[in-house]
Amino acid sequence: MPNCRAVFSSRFCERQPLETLNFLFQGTLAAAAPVNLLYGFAGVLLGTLVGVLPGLGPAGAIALLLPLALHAPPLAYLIMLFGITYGAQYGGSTTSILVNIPGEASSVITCLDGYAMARQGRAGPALGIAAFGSFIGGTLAIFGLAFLAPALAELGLHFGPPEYAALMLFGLTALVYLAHGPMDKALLMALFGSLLASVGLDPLTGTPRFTFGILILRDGVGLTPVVIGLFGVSEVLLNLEAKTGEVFQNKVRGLLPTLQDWKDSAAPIARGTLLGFFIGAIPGLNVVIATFASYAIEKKISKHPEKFGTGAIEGVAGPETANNAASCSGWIPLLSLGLPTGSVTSLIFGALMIHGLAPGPLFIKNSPEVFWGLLGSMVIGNAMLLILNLPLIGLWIRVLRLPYFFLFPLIILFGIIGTYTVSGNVGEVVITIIFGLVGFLMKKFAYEPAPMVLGLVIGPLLETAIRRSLIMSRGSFAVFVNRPIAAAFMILALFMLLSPLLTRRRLGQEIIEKLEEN
Amino acid sequence: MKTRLFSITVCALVISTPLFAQPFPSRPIELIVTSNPGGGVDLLFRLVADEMTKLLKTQVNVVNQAAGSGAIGAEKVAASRKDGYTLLGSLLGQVATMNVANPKGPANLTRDFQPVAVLYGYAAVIMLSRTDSEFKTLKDVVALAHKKPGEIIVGVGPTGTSLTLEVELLKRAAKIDITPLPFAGSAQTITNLLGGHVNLAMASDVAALPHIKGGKLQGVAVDVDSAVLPEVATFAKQGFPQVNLLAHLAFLAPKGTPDATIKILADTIRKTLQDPKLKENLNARGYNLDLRTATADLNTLVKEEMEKYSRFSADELGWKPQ
Repeated sequence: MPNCRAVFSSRFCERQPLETLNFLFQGTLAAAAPVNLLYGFAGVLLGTLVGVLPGLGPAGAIALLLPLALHAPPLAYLIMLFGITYGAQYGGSTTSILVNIPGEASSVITCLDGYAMARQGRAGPALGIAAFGSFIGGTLAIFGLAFLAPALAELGLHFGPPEYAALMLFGLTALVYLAHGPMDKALLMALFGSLLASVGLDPLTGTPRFTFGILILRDGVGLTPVVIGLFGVSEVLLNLEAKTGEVFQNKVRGLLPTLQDWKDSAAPIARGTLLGFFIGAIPGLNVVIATFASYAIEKKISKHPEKFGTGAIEGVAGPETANNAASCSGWIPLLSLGLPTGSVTSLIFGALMIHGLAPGPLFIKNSPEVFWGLLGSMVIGNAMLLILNLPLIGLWIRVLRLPYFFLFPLIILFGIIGTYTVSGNVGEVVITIIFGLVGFLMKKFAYEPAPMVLGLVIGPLLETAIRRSLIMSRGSFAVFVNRPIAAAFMILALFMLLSPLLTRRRLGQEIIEKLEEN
Repeated sequence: MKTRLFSITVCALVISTPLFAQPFPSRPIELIVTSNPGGGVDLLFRLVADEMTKLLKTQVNVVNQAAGSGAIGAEKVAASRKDGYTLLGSLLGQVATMNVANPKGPANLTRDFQPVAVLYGYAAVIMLSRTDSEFKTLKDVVALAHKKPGEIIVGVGPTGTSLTLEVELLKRAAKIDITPLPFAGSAQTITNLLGGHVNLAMASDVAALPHIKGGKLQGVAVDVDSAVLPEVATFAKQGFPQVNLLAHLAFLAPKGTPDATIKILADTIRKTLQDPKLKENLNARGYNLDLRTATADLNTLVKEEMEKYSRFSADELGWKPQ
């Protein structure tokens, strides 16, 4: 691989802010070459599609495209794979809003207010703000990536097991804000979610837990099949029961966000960008957590938290922005240190390896044309996605007019094909169907699925982090408070838990009233 | 009468097929790989399969079946037709583990499989420390472990992987007490070593290379001479030949596949590695390309592998009986 100095003049190699912009500009020019544009467009289009289809996620799509790596031009191919990952974040919200079925796990939270908006005939503004928020979050995060990547990567290294444990506890406090039914039911669901996550091989000792001798269960219960079942299949079952010919009776009002919508969404979009960017940069936290955190914060500081869950546009704007920003900053550990942090980044690591571009601490210096080309392609790709997604809103809304006997079997079909394609495993399909029934019963008895997804995501991270910490400290719990970052998150978690009770206003009032009602 | 005639015809057809059998291979071959897509093992199988497709003029498809720690993929191949059209791509140790842990299980290395080709010690496992630490060689590790039993924390992989088992072997051979801390794999152990949360990390040499080049990490020992880090001495050279679970990449066919078919496959795999482009590509990435295809060689290898893994309990191998 040519050295930085061999490719660019030497002053490019010690970067100043202006030079960073210059690099980004050069990268964008490189990404605008016809072949790169073509692959980039294919990527974002595919990504949108993958995002819209429940079940099939970016990891699955990239795995299917790996064989192409050997035959495609390296930069163009990588641009396409990156396009799939952020394109999926744009597409994921579509089905959440329209039919209450998240296209990706990172759009679970969008169901709460997005679907409520759609029921009021405001699917257009919800989809619109999701697209604009995604664009703003995604684009700003690229600049963050360009300026802060190496520094943030170093910061991420300070997160050892005790820091993760504290951060996860902090994350669990979001639960208080996710529930809009009774608190005890939400807690029960979160516990059920974490219990489910413990199925499979014990991550530390390899002991099978709750597998009942079934080989498939050794790998645990995956997030995708559970989400598809819980939201997708159960929604279809509910609709079968309802016997209405159409999904919505309400007239569709407006295709784009109004001025008031924009006023309500501006701050959540800004906060979502920041939150998503920093959460995404910490290795091992996934995009889902960024969306839950954004929702929790918006609800906490809102002047009208009671509107959340009944169609508050802030509840769509924040999380949908956060997931795009997080998916962008999620590249930081990989690109600046060569550390893949999840299934998608591992796959991209593999793709880079196929082309002999092993990412590592010297990657940016040694392969500037790839790094800046990819960043540039993301600038172009995000613009493409906005242009692609806005006109699609009209089309999606028309989809809602399809009779449900036509629409819903299709959704189930795509969901099941999606879960099957990724693993090639019939067991996952069975899990999907079982959780369809579970989700149906949950809705019948007014248990909410979102806290369960939070438990499913955070449970295993929290468990492994606590157990690893205790191995490190040889059993002493002091490890959670005598390390500064861990201690800070512990204090934040305590604050989040106690503040509503202490202040007794806004949300606190609401929760207390609810508790008293019970 | 008609049905009888029909069944006779079908029987005749079935029986006569071998007589008029088309030369192998006449249809696509399925290579079931027991790892997830994107990792080092998967990558190598994909590159070889792609080259095999060109040489055999028939599609060689990689199908990932990582479920059940690879047992589901192995079981599928073990039960498939013995015609060379379904192959298993796996680490030899992964399949040997299934034997040791569950001898009567649905997939058994010695009972159900016939090795076609083995890439011997295709990548090294390396023990790493930070360049600013006191651990330069194994001697330093052993000395400090004797002084402070249990205090050295080493980042290892999931239960049953060679990253973990080799630490167990070192503990036994050197009679030391160090604390293994399991992570999901090389990337995570390296991350935690860089962050200073563990004292040592086990990882694949290829994953460690950029960080050694970057000057933050150093190699303490490797289990087999590494193609990319020749300066790091093996466990054996540093006095612990017992730490020797090498990673062999194996192409396995169901037992009973005709010898002629095995030979065609083995010869093709050998030819793929002679392709200069592929060879250069694999060398650049740090893989050892020591391919073994002679039957006697392979049988010894399988025997050795079984012996190596029978040193562990099913529990240590990650197959605790329920």
